[in-house]
Amino acid sequence: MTQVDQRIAAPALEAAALGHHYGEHHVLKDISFEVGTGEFVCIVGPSGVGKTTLLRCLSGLQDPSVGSVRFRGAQVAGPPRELALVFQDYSRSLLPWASVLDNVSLPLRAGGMRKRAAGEAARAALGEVGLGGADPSAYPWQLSGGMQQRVAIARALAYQPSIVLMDEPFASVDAQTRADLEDLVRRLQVDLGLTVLLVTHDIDEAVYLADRIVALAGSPAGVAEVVTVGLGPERDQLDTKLLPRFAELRAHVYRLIRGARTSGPVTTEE
Amino acid sequence: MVLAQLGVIALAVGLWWYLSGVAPGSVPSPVRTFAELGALVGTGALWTAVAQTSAAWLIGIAVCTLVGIPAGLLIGASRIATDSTRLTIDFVRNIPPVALVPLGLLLWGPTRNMVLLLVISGTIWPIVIQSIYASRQAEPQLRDVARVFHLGRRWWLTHIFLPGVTPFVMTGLRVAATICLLLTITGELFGGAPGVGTQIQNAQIGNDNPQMYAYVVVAALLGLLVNSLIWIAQRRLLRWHPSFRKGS
Repeated sequence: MTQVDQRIAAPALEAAALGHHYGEHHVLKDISFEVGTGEFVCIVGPSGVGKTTLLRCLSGLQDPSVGSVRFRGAQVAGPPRELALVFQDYSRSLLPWASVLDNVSLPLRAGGMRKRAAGEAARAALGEVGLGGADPSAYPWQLSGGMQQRVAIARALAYQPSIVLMDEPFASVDAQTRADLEDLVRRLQVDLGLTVLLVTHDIDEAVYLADRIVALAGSPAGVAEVVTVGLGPERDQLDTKLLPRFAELRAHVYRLIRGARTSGPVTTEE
Repeated sequence: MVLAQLGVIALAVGLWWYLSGVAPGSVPSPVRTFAELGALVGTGALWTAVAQTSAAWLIGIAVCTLVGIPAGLLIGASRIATDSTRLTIDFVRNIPPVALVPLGLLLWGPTRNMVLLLVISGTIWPIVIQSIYASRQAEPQLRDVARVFHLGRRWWLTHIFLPGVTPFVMTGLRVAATICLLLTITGELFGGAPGVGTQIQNAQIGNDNPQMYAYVVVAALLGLLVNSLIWIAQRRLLRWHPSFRKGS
């Protein structure tokens, strides 16, 4: 109970009646939720529902047309310094002309850190994501997709954020790599006490990773429900996914997303 | 690959040989031409001409680089600037540079300035146009990366924007470098400014065909050299680029 109170007292990130439209095209409508400090929240919704727009608004890259975003109680106008973002497409968000080490240390050096100190911090972050054995002078494109996304995660970690936003971070890697990266992010979140907000279209992934799920549905998209997962801090790719609670949540979220999407005249199915 | 290349060279020389047999009055044989070239290598005239041409080329390409790249990048950074300058640039760049020879002669006589007018008016456009493209093609996602990680203007410029535009700019530079040499020699030939072009002209006036061809070969070798130098620079600067990648 006290934990819940604390979360409400100090939300890391809040969306308040957020809406967005591009010209006449309304994408997001009346979206309100909060992410507690140290919490792992997944935003899940079908492809094309406006998840990336929402994430851009939440990260301060874009101003919402309506409503507001608050980071630690302060209105967001531009990306907050304590926020890091892991982009969906690592091949377009890592610098192909810079080595792995330079990619990770660049934000630190731009922030005024000495080259050597930034290099050490970058190496530590690379170790954190399991790339301690990789050649730091390699170019990102010489690594596999999964390793590249690890570099992107290391860049975010080295930046020492209190909150990490992730936009479909595992969408372009194979299933095994995806499971590994999910466990990595989950472990980092617990070990480093990070607040993580991850956007995905994959319901299983959302249920597996999140403490709470914000289910988006409809057009323009709104919050169908905020689901508390309650699977505990320890998750396992096999055991967790065999739990009855997991199946229940997955079905529930599935109906939320799908039900609202087919709302209106087409609700006779099932 | 090397074998095929040698084959093509042999074929070209063979064709030259054949032509020299058909019209011995106007085309000297490869052997005579290279014998003449060998004789010229020992003289100061050849090296003076090469130095004069190289100097004009260097000044020309330097001016075009220093003016053309920033101008192109700035224009390309703005949609409005790109659209509003397109027609004018397309018009101006289609004026044959040789048409400026009379103007240059009128202003400066047969001097390097006259050659530079011709050279710069023809060389700058590929650089400007490629730089505009480069600026427009800049990866938008990296702009977000720079904003999220608070890179600031200076770091964004030096570590994201400039490396990002280099591939396109280098392509423009490579095309421009060759055009620049061709125009330098053309300017010398038509305008009489000192250099390899004038030597070609002089040899022709003196009816010394082997010498004329020897200087033509010199011009071609200079072109080859320029192209190789830029190619090496490109490969060094763009090790990371898909067209130069090893072991990806």
